[in-house]
Amino acid sequence: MLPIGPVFRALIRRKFSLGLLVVQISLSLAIYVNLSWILVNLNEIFKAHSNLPETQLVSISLRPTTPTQINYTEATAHIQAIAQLPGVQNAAIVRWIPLRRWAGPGTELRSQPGIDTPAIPIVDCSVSPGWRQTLGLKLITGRDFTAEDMATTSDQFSKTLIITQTLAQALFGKDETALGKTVFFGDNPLEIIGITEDWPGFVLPYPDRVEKTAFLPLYTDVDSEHRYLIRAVTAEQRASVVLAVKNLLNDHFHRKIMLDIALIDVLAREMKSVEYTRNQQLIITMVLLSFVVMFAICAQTIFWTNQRRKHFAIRRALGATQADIWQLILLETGIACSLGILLGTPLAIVINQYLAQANAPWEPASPLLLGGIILAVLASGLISALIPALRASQTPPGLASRSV
Amino acid sequence: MFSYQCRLAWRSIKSTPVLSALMVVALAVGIGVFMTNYTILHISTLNPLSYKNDRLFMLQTDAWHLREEYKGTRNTMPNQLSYRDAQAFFDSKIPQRQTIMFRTGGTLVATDAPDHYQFVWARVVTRDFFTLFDETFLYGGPWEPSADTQQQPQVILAEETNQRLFNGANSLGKTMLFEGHTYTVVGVTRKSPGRQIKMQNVELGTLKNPDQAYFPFGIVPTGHIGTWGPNLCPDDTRDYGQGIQKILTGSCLWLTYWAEFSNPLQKQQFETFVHDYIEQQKTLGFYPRPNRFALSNASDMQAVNGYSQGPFYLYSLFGFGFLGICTLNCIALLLAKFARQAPEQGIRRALGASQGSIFAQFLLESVFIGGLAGVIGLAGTLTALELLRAGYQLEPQQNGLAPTNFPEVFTPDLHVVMLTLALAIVASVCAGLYPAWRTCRTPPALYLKQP
Repeated sequence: MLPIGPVFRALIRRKFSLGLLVVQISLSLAIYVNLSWILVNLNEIFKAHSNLPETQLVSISLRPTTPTQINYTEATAHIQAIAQLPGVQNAAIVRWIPLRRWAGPGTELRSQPGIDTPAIPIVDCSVSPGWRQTLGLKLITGRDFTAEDMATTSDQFSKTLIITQTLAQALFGKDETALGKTVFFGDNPLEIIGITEDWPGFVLPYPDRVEKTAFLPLYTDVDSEHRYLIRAVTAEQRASVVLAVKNLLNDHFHRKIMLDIALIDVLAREMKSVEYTRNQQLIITMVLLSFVVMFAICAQTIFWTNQRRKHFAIRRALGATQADIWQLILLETGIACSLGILLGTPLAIVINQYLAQANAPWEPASPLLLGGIILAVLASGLISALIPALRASQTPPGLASRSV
Repeated sequence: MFSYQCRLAWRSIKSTPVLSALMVVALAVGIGVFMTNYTILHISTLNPLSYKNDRLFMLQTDAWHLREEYKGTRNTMPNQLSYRDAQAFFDSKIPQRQTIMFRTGGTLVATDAPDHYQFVWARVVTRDFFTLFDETFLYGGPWEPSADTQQQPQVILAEETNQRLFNGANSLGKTMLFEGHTYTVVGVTRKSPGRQIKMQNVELGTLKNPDQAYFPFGIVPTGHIGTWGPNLCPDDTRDYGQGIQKILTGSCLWLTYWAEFSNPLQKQQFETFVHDYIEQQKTLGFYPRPNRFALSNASDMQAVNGYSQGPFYLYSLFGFGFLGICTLNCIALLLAKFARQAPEQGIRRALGASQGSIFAQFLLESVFIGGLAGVIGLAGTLTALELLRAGYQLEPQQNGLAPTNFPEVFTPDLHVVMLTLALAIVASVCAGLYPAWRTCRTPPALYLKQP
């Protein structure tokens, strides 16, 4: 039978210290739950893969340093020449660099004409035929762009577009096919001719999120910057491909061109390194918090047990075994931890609900995570009490007779 | 007497070295965790123009469409204005100083040395910009007022851009190509000492992507320079034509407007002007939402744009909770430690020491513990910030474009150092108050009776 009565009486006698410990445990539980929740979500980001052939891809941005405009015919000639280079698998013109944290302009698509109809925020990216094979995106349904789809001067606009699966569902729902439907980009009607698999995207490339991207067969000749996306046959060949492309373009423009090289795997790594640092920061904070809380429980239990050495000695003299003293100390600590958990759990849930709202679409902490942390707090509390319990159980019974 | 109290307090700490050390470490960890996150939050929300908070303001108007409110800012008003509106406010001439501006970028090439080129973040501004935002000049000065309204192809370089393109030499009068068009250098701004916090960078955050060149606003009608900042288009079905004509007459919002007022009356006059202007625009079918506008100073703009509510705000709150746990821990341990010393204090009381002097001795002991924790916590904070700086470091861009990361937030200022030490002392005093009070009230007779 558990000595509940004596344990409660002992706890009530030092209610102030108990209160301090309970508040510490409850606060740390609330912090643990929410930091772990952030950590789990960041970890998903860190672990996820973009599904792009990152190590084969390179983006080259061209900015002529003289008043020169690169028209579509010229850009297409570059792409064809690049495609002929050894080691090149595909090449295409794209407006944005994949996986670059670039707060590009957000635009909207509507499934119905008119500004009063609901609009879906999207990221639009102008591309040329061959972009999908270069990027490595799978076409779920429909067809690719052809040369006839391209709008190639500033006074033209696309008549067709290809969209991601998530965007298709956002526009027309899960049950209706978007293929062949007309959508409206401002006042411009566009026919959806293809739907691709989802991907992380251009603007907010979090690997755990998919971007609602619309790819448009469009080339803006008045732009001062153009961008070619190139896919090497293998990752090893990419460096030689980059060198060959740089030489080709420098020769073509008589070196009056500024070339900005972006390796897509480096961008992905940079993106993840920031998450990784945040991840490490949270882990270190949680380890330090564990150290502080376990130290608090251990030190305060030692103090309590030291104050009651005579009491333990009398119990031992009256026949209590070492195991009985262990049970007493662990039960006291267990009750203190349970009170802390009782107070801390609602606090943790309230804070988590607030954070989940602020960080949508992150889901609130799962019961599994909450339960796991509650068990961990209880277990670490009991582990912290082991040393004091050991010391108390070794109190010699003779101490009782010497001090009476 | 004070030195005697100090000696006693120090002796007391030395009598329980392990317990005292553990208290110091626990408190230092709490201080370190909180101050690391607080430093980042504090530096990223610094406002070097706070001394102008009563006179320098950015204007927001609610020019958004009727079907929904604008969601990009806390006050649901866009930061940007249309060219039409910004020009009307600028033409009012009511403020003492004013500027219209927008973010741009492109390739700058020295015309007499075509191999010297750089990809830059730039800003198109009116002349008063430099005075409003405390930009000083290394060479030359701002362009003439006429360049704000007339097409005068001039450029002002930032010191670092001048260094890269002209090896830091005086480049006044040199010509440059920017996005294929020629501009003459009329000034070079001096890099301000210390942190490069730019309150004018509402578009991307005050610590990111500093401006590397400036162009006069008068060249906007040429259409040679486009915006790299937000270009928000509320619903508007009117036909504004194409190209630059559409940009200058349409409803898309892409310009920010700042004004400095010499006195409250001037500000009030301007507010009346803005209110009346919006009313007049309503009669023309613009501004479908209620007549709302805001003149916010630079500090308020940080709040409006939520710069103070990022992840480090959250981490700072957690860090504060952590420090709270460490302080509570310290209270419990000091209570235990002082209780152990109660017999000794009983003898001191019996020999004539007052309750106050016992209380002061215990409190001094807490202060010593806090002081030590503050020093160790500060060292921990500096170490953690260096580690975070390395973790958040991005590879430099080869094209010369200013970096998009912001390493400056990991460098603490004097405020942070002082706050760390003060916080440690305050936390330790808070931790020591109750245990000291409780111990000094113990009747001495209780301990004198014991063998």
